[in-house]
Amino acid sequence: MQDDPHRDRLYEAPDDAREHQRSRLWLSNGVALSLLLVAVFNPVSLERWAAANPPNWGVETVRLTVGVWSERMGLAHLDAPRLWLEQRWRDLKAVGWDDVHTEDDEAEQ
Amino acid sequence: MLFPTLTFGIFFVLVLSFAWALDRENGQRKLLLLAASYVFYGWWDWRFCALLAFSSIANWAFGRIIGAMPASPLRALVIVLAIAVNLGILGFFKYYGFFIENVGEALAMIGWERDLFLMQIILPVGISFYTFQGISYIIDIKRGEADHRASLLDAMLYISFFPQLVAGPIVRAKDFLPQLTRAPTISRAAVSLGVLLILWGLFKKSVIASEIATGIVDPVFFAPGEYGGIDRLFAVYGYAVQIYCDFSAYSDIAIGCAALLGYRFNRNFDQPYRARSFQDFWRRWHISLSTWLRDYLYKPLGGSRGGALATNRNLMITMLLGGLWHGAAWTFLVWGLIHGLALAIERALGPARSGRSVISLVITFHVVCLAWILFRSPDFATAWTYLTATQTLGDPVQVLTPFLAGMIVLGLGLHALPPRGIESLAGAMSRLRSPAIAGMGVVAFILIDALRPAGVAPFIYFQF
Repeated sequence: MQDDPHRDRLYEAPDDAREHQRSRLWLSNGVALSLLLVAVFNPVSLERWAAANPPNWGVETVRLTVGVWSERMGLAHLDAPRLWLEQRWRDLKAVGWDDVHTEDDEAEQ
Repeated sequence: MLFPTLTFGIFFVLVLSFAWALDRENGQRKLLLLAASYVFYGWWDWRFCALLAFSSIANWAFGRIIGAMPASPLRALVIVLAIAVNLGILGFFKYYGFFIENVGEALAMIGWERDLFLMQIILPVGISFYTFQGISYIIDIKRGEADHRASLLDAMLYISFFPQLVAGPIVRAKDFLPQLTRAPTISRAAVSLGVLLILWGLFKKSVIASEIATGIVDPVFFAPGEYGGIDRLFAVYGYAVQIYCDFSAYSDIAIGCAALLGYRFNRNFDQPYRARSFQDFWRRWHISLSTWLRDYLYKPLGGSRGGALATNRNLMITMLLGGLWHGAAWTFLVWGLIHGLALAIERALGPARSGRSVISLVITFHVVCLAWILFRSPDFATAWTYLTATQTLGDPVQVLTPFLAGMIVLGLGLHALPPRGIESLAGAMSRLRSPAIAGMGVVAFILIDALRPAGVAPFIYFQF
């Protein structure tokens, strides 16, 4: 194993079994809560995944269920941060060199 | 199964949950990870699972035989046979078509045209990586650095462990096998590091590499003669950023997944475009391959022990084979040649003085970029067109947008970040409560998911 002092200390495994159990619980809680938050704020990713897969009973069930859920979350505006971000990103991509020059020229004037 | 997809996300969460549920039963845990690795590999083409199993079992059997034999000519013969089996598998699947095609052309040139037995062979994903791991297993046992009594389960898991199976990092037997002897325990710091590396890898691959690839690199390298100098210049810089963000992302996600499962892989990239020499570059770029070539090829050839001529010969052989490892094409061989020549010239000139370090950095980066043109081009004709197209820097810009220029600058700018920033952040994160970590992780995930283009291209190194 190559020496890498900055990483080595992060990998130091706890000797104490209780400490390991606490870290494992910390990981499990983190994963469970992350899944919940993603389901609330980003159900569209699951919907898109289902739409991109070959349709079958399971995939269609997921797609329809998540579709309804996604719509409900949208009605509560919980998808607003994501939509705002996507729109700003699209605006940024659409900027051309002429727009940059115009902004520079205006600044000079 | 690609890393930056929800399919892999669901797969990994399931494997992670079951693996930690079995943390008191190391044998069952390893069986689970082995089964998961075969599911992961079989997702592309289940037929190649048999090849992976054959490679693993053959290496384990050779390892047992080699480890049990005293040093003798017969043992040396078994070692050669074991390496030949590994290279034979790699050679057949990866280089057979290339070899036959070139032999056919060579025979035609001397007027000996023959109908050679040409086959369409599908290249199994990750074969270059797991073959090198198989060779590492054999040589580490030969050197007494790895235990030849490793169980079949351990040997199979070492070769097929899914995070590193298809695009590395190339893990050494002596590093990984000892980690399998007992059920791993986990620390919050390792979990934090794993989560950060996965998110960082997703950002580099899904946002930076994908945007640059589709926006500028793919169109310009498809028809370089149709684009002006600015587009071509930025497409090369773009490819330098794309291949770094793509490949280092795969390594980061692999290292992160392994860390979450309780295993440690070595760092594979270390801000390579900060390199001030080619020697420095190869200490930072694909470290697991460069150290593999150094320890299992360059040093056994004699390394730098036999004078300048022998050293340069060994260097050139190593870099040429390193180039050819990437793919069965002459362009990869010449890519290796350029790097070999640069290393040889650097040796002849001696170490760069510190006052010239910025100039050295710029020169190193640009020679690396020049070599990337060959690496990315499908053939010499495209590379030649790229380098010699008549358009000048004054021609109109067609594909480069302020956004893409910004992404390229961002990709290069990553090299100006503190070199061990992720580790410092992981240390700080490990002191937070799990809801805070989950919240931060989800914000980062939504950010990446919102910014990435639809669909994900396979990783560049999958083809190797």
